[in-house]
Amino acid sequence: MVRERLLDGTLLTVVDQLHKFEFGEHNILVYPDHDTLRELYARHCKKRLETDNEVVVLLPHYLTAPSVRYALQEFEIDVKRYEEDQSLIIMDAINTMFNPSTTDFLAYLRGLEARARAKKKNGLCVIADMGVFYHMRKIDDLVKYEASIPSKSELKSNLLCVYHKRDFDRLVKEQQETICKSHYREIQIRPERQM
Amino acid sequence: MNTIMVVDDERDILSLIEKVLKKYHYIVEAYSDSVKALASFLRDPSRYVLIITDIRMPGLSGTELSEKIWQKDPKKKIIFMTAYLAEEYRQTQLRVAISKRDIVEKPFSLERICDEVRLRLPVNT
Repeated sequence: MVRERLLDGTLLTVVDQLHKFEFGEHNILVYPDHDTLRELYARHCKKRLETDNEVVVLLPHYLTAPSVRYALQEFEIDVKRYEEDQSLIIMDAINTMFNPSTTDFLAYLRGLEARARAKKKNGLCVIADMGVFYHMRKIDDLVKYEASIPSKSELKSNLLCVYHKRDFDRLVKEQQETICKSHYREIQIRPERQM
Repeated sequence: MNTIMVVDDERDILSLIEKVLKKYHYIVEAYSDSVKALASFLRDPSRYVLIITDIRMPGLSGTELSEKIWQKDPKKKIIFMTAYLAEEYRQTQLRVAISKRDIVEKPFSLERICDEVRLRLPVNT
């Protein structure tokens, strides 16, 4: 991968960079622990919802929807209002990405993007925890799924596929390489103490 | 040693369960990393009288962990915890044969988890 498209840093560095990425990017982010992901959700959502006027879709797997809502509220995001006007959608990835298939998931995202346009939103931001594929024991499908999404497109949306480090490390080298090649940028958040 | 192994990737929940079980004088080993938990189990399976594990965990899920434990010791008692009981049954059909009696749905009270342990083990005094 091109060096400028590799990003390895602390949470704050990564969040700062995420805000600068262009629409149409399909990126991968590897996170070290659940607390880091909670904070990433909160910091990224705050900017996308309050400043950028976008629709945000969060598809957690290891974190429950209530715990994600709580994390957002801790950052003074008006979760109730944004969920009511459908600017913010928080759903368990298992129900979204496998209900009934990943093909339908892509159609679902296209529908959301059209709806965002109709609501005069500037775009769509999706953060999906790919841990759901491990849980369903569909690693081969995961690799195919990632490869089926263009790494860069003309869409007015950003798709961030997030992997817990322990899940990413379970993949064999060839799978890791295929998955990384399927994304425009590779991002890794380091725990603060390792920096 | 009659040790209870508790495995949960959410450290806060793990710590609460560990504390309450220790209060009742159980010997407890707590793991936030299921891969490390499995390694400890495989080193000395007979040490553990009961395993309490979350289902959704990165690295090695609770169901995968249980499969590996039961391969070594099919009679080992395991209590599963999940915040997604309906989804687990609908989407994954819980690939290992787990009795609903052995699943505790989150959120649960600490008393509930203690009751489940007491049903399976005598209280250590």
